[in-house]
Amino acid sequence: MALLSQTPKKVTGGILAIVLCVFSLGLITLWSYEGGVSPEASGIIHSARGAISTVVAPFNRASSIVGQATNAVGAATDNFTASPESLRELQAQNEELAALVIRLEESRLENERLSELLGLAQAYDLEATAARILSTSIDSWNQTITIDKGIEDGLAVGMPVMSPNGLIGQIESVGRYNSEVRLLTDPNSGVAVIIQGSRNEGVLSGSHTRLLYLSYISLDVPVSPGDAIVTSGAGGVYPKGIIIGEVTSVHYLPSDVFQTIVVKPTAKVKYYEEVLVLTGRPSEVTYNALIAMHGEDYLNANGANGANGNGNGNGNGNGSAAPANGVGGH
Amino acid sequence: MDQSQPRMSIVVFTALIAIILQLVVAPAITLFGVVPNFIMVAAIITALRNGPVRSTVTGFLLGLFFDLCSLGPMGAMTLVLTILSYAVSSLNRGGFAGNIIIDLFTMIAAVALGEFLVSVIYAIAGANPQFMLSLVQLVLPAIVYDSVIGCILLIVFNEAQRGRKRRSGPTLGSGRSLSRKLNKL
Repeated sequence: MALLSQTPKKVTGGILAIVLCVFSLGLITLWSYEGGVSPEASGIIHSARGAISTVVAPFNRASSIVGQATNAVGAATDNFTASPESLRELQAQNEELAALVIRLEESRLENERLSELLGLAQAYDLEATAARILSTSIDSWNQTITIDKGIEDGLAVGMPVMSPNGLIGQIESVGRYNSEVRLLTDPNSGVAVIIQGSRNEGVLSGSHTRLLYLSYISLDVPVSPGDAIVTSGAGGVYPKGIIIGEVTSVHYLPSDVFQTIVVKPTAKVKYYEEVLVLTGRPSEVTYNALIAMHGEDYLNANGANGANGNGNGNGNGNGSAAPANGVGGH
Repeated sequence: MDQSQPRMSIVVFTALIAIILQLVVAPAITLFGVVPNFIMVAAIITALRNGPVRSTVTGFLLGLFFDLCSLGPMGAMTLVLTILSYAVSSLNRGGFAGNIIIDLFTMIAAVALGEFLVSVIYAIAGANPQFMLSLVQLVLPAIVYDSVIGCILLIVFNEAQRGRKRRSGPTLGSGRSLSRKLNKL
């Protein structure tokens, strides 16, 4: 306050601006030194952000209320302006979906029985905690959400976050009572995936348009719109086999090395109020899955303890393949 | 000191309102993926109505708060708002100071420069891997959205200031109250 009350005679604006700019550059450098946007980044700046997120949590809750109000206004406007044709179309879709729900319920019950037989229910008993979405990002450059669970609830940086329709992101900053989740659609996000049909691996990354782009798929791999994209489990961050989205368009030039594949995410954050945070590390999930399928003696005999022991990338990748394939067979 | 106190309170009030709007309202009124930047707009409005020292410090503090609440490069918005605030307040001290038309143009130019600088700093810091695409998909829509909001808020702020001056008595030339001018003499 005292500094703000100074007149230009006492403190030259130019000198002050230069000092503050140098300080800002120092902050950028320190942030980069701490790891930047990497989920493994840690240090004083990242800790300070966690603390600030706790302080501004009440505002995030208020933002959640404002967001619900604006969504309600938008929905009301849509309903008011809907044409009779679109209403008939929606009624037809509703009937189709009702029939689909009945079929899916049958499949779910069948799946439960089969899972029980094979012990896969235990294998896929992912350790998870539900969290409420408080607000979305306050700036255009980061596609993030704030959730109402933090360190006190056992959350940590790097934990995957899911919605009922698939994977949505990863925790990047954690405060005492809330956390920031970077969404898969953020340009700085990347996840190792496979195309469900062909089993070809690639890397899925976000964009400013909130669509996902699948990279490193060569021209000879057959990909068509509608193909499902699921996590590959490589890297050990995300468990294998979680649905992410489906291919909407594929295009390339004859001179290209890789195809340009656009993927539409199945989980759209704006439609959810709650998400699920996977609190068990993928390596632990994998190890439990292997025990459930083959028993501990089998793992000891085949030297698969490494999947749990060190939790490294190789152990995770190899270990997670078995249970996922097992489920795929159902 | 007494003379600057009332205007100082306006600066603090503007900054607090901007912070609340950014935290509570901005995420709810996202348009085509663009979140309005009330904090940048507030820093520019403050710079249009105050001297370089006060504007620069206000811009710096607002930017620092924005960076602490965001997950982007720490210091990016701090640097941009410090530069913008100093530049706008320094340029706005000539004969056109207080002219609403000039202020509106300054607002649009400052928002455009600010959004572009942010995209450049994000790219240099490695947080904007699609720099060229971001110019079209994010920076341009953000400039339009922020400019519209900035111009509306500037007009509202201007009217409120004029109303306050009318209530506080007759004015001279640059807008300071007559009693203050006389006291100064």
